[in-house]
Amino acid sequence: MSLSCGARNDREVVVTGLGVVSPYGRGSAMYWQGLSQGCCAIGPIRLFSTDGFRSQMGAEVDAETVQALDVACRSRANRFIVTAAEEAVCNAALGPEELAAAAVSIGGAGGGMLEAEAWYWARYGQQEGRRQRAALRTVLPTAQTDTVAWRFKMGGPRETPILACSSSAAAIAGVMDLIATGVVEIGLAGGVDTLTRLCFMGFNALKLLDTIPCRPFARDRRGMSLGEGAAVLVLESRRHAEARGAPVRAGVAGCGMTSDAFHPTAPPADAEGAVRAMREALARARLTPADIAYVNAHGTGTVQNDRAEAVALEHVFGAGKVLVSSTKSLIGHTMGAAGAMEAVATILAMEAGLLPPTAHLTEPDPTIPFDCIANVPRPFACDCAMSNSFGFGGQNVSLIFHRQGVTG
Amino acid sequence: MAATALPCLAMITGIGWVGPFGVGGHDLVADVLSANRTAIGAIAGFATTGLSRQLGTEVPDAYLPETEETRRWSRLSQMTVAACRQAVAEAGLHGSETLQHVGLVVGTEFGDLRSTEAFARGFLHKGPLGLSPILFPNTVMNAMAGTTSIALGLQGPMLTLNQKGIAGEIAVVRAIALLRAKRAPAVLVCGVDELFPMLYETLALLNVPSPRNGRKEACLPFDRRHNGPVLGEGATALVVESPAHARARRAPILAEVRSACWGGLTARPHRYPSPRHLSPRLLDRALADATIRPEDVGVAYLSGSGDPYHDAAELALLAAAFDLTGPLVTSVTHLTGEYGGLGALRVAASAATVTRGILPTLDYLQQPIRTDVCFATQRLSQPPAVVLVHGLARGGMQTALLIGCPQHNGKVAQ
Repeated sequence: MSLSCGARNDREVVVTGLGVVSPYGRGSAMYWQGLSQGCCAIGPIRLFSTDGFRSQMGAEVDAETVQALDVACRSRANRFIVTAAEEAVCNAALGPEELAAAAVSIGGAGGGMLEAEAWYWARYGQQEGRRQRAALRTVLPTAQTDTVAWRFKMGGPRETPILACSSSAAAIAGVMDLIATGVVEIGLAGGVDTLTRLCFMGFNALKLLDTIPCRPFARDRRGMSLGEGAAVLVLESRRHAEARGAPVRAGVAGCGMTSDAFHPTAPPADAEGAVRAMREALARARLTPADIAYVNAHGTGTVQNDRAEAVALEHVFGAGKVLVSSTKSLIGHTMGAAGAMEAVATILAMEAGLLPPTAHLTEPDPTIPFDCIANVPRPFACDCAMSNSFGFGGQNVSLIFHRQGVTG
Repeated sequence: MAATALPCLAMITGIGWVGPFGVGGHDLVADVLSANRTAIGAIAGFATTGLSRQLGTEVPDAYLPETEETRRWSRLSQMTVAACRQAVAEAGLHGSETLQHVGLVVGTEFGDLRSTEAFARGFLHKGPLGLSPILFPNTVMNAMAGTTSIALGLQGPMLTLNQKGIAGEIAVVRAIALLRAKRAPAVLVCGVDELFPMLYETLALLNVPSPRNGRKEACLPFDRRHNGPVLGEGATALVVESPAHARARRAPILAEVRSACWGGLTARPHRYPSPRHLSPRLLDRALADATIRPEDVGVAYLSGSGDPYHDAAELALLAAAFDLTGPLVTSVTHLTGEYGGLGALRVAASAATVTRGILPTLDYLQQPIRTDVCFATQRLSQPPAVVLVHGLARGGMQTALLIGCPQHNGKVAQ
């Protein structure tokens, strides 16, 4: 696909398919069931040993679900992403012809690191075998994108954005741009990450993991909980979707991408980069802050991040002017998959007219001047909503979706 | 060709290269191409005893800046920042006001595996107490981009793209997509990868590099003696700008990007496309969109690495898209060794070819694998009108960039 044909700017982009693998199980229906009931999927990690670590919590996709996923896939990450993509493609009723020209962008951070770790551990113990070595073929995050492209015979642009925790939000933004500028008509955008020893050990080393399920926006929050999963969205130009009679689930109104240029792991106190990302998303969507009713926050549960995000939200929307919740309190922080999983949560919330809650929010932080939808889902008809993702390295991505039926 | 009729997607206004020959800008690239001198030799930075492979290219530590600031960075981040600083200086992008709107795209195949391994080793040696919180952020592939944005004050959109083989080309194409979507007026692009002992050893165990099949270890893309790539390392940065932005600030124009295409050929994730899936569709599209005739493309920088399947597939694509008037095929791989981010150097080299008529010749070619393709075995008598930079990766990902000589009335860099 060529960038030369990109003369048609600002074409409306819609979502015509969704697919998810989450700690609740396989499929977007189970995902929504878990979120809408405020079920917390965070518990002790069983996937690998957590002995000797301060925190031992995480939201895992259970073994039974994983075993039922595509066994032809070499790695856990491949199984997740192929399953999520299958659901999204089926949901959008995409045929081979549409897929042949479609773009695909799958964000991640760890790739097939879980299996590579097993190889490295074995190598260290001088017990390395050929089977473990074969796992190295899927260690790079690009392997998940290539696997999806191969499985669905996709011939369009293909990329694997790595922006730490905002990877898959950037994948959505990137595919949106390709459609909006006329490079492609359709694209699959999403993300995947599995629990890995490396990530678990790293956040333990940074002392950023809570010892109990995370409590974003709570006065006594002590850090995050890790999670795993995958989500894929089928994005399409509205014209193309309508021409083929595809079911339109939501519109992608705009997105903003900025960098902090501040610190490798911490946001600036004034959250200036996050503010710019949200404002850019609003400007590109031609919306005002008052048009946004709900923000699915990055909301990790760390003291610093939640405070910075609240500062940014206050700058953009004004204190108390928007409803906020963090679905990470239910499914943990799924790293590179978080942006796409939260985008799906935002769309499903708009469809259902029900906002997912922030779990474990018994005592809200008084310095966070927002209604963070404590513990119980909130019935609320919402036309436009924002999903925020902020990653290590100071990478900020804000996405705005509007409900189907609302003009973009 | 009409001087003003050609579409220009973006202008290349700065180049920075940290490689085995030193640190420099477009002059260093031109000098290395002109000298056609290879950096491939026995690995000196670490022991290769018992690996059945000894060759590679390395960036000597002496070329990496050592200051109070850089000492805290990983080696890969040092290379990335040094290349990016050089490119920004060459492009004349000065001042925080200017730089804060600039975007950044880093393309890498392996990221900072050195830090990742060191982090994991800490645990295996000492348990949880051996884990370094300083190393952990480097285990995520966007660490180099994060460090660069902080070092240079870049606050625009920032992306790291992971891609086998052609991460550099993908980064350039995505940077142009950011310009087209008006996300930034200028984007700094960097293709970067490094060699380190565990990676070298593991790829050798997987039988990726030369020698294979009992042949002699060597980097011989497109020759019948080819038997796998020789691994290398480096960082190449480019400043790409929207034509309007470059003209408005009277930037030094090194070259123009006339066409930028990317797409996927059907291939298993770890394989090159089989002959029946080699369609010239993308190359045809690149030419058609830029209204460039095949005969105007004088030179093609290919990604062919010396892997027999890779070389054969890429030449087959070229032969299908161009007939007997096809471009002269050249490469930088025999000079620098192979790494995922190398494509950014191919783009930088194409700028030198299209403006100065310099290109590396494939002097090692004894028996080309195809006789219907012309290889660069002699120097050019004059610069070509257009240069193709083509990339093909395992998994079928493909890129095509058409690079032309600056045609506007601004400041043309020499």
